Amino acid sequence: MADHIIDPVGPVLQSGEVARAVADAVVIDNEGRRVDIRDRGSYVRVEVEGGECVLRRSTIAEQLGRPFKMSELELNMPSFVGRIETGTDVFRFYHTFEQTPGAGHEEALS
Amino acid sequence: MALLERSQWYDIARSTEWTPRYVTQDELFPPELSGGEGLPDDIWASYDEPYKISYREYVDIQRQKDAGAYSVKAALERSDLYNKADPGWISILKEHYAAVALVEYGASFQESRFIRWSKAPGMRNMATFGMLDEIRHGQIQLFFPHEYVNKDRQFEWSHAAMWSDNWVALGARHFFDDVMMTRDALSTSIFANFSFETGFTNLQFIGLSGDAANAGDFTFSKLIQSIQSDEARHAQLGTPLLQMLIENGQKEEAQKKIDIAFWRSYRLFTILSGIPMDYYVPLEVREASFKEFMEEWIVTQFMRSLEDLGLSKPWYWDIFIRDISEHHHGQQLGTYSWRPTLWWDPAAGVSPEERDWLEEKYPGWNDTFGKVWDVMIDNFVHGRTEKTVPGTLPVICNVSQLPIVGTPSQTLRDISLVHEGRRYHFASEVDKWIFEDDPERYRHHKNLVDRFLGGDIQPADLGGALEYMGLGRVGPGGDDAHGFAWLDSYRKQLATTG
Amino acid sequence: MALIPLAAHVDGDFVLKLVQVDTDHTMDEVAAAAAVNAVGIHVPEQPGRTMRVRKQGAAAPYERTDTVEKVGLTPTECVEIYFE
Repeated sequence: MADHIIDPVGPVLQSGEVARAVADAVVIDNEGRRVDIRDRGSYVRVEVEGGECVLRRSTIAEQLGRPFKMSELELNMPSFVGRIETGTDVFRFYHTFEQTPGAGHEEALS
Repeated sequence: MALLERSQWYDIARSTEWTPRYVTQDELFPPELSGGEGLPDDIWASYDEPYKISYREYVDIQRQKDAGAYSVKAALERSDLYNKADPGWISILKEHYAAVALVEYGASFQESRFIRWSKAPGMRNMATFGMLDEIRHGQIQLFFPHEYVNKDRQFEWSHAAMWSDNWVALGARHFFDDVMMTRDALSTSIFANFSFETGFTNLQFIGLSGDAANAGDFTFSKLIQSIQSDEARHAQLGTPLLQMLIENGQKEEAQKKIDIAFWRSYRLFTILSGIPMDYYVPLEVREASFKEFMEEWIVTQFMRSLEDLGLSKPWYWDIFIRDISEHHHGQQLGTYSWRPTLWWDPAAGVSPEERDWLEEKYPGWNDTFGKVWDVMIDNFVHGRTEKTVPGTLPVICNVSQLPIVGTPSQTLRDISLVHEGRRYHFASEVDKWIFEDDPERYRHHKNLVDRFLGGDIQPADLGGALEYMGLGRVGPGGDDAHGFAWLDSYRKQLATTG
Repeated sequence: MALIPLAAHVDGDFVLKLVQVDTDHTMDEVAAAAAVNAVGIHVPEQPGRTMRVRKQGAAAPYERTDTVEKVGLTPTECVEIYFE
């Protein structure tokens, strides 16, 4: 099970237009990090490897093709993994601890 | 006129600290109400809430959330979900609304107490939004079931259950009184915001939303995710408090608060989420088993947030991991057997196909819990209906208030102690530990069996107990959700073999 | 003689059940009282086999003719009932 994403953080979103745009934006804004999008039916887990996920307002707006306010994210975000920082233009999800491969509970995420 | 960015004025707006001149600090913030004893006085101003929002943003977003949920409801009202949905699904709605709606008002009091008693100005500010959130949750979860009251009187329990002495209501009230209503502001935030809301409410409000969408109930799916989007924000209140405790030498105290709240939340959710997810949700639309949802939301996600703060798994982790494969199966047998004591109609969920699913998700189920169902099914198919409801009460835990259950011939046992001349019973070693840690908090409460034996319930039989719990008086009690139609395949088996 | 409630654990059952007995009752009578709400309800009937009563966790059962009073059970204490 070496394929498991290590120390993922990021938003859990209600499935729909915003979830798709945020998922695309996360890939762009976290270049160089592995991103997994896990479709769970009515919700989507957006997971960025390595304990940090950056989400920019401008990137989401580009993906949506319309203006977007970061506070709107709350409309579609029933949960998130990691701690959160909520700026006007950037949200950040992060962990402060170093998670070593195999030390967590990845098996449950398969 | 250009508006300032939120970050440019936020710190000034939330800085509501002042120095009292006419009363002492302890009079302004009595320790038993505010908590945080032993923390330095200047720490409170440094409380920095992670999830920030302005009032302008809040009102805008909440209006949109309500508009979204209410418009889905309005659009689907004519689709006649009540008559089209599987009766097991309808039972989930009845159980959920009655167990949750009034409690949400309780949660608004919890947040209100933060607004007044928390020593951290940032927390007082964010708790104001939390209070408004919880009022919304109370209102919307009373309004939505109201649509069904004229179809089915069991939906009246949505408002009535928490005022009654129904045993499930007694258990829920005991839990919420303990974690949400009767501790100081700091402790309450760790118990309720951190442990309960960032942990367990996800299970019911997001996990179940997938099953709801699959079952065609988009109204409920949208509603509970909408509610949880509020929780995701105000649940963050507890995290900075945990950091304060840890950084000031109170890590053990912090860990203990989580350990107590985690177990109590988990056991309540075996009834609220465990039974519905594994027995009531129609087989063809089940997204995952209760155990799988627990692994996703609790074992993985919640534990990571604990570890990130430098905290540990609860001391009873091994007990917990075993328990998520068994406890709710016992509670399903109990609730179904004593179905007249419920405010909803339980689904049995043990047709031959459903048993295959249970055996796949919980290997060994057929040889343990399944054997008890075999006896019940035999009674049903032979018309011995009078033998399908026990004529006595189960023994009930003095902490969780739930029946003491276990895996037949494996883990069922009584755990008890005598405290000041009274014997108390517990449904697990963890419940006993919780009691022993603070007997003064728990020793005075009388569970349903204590009331029965103490003469509070008359006549002292199952009929008297039903009357006491309001069944048939406040509202109708429960019977099989599917009118026993699930027994048909067993009747056919009997006809073929016999 | 006086009524005394016990917590009954009938082997094979999934839940502890309240049973009201009398302090004069023998262990055979205690077993029979516990069986009413368990055997044939949640636990299969086992014709021809004797039901015995023991303290929870004890290896040996109580004597069948001993009374509740004699063995010293206290209110709501748990007894295990099993088929011999």
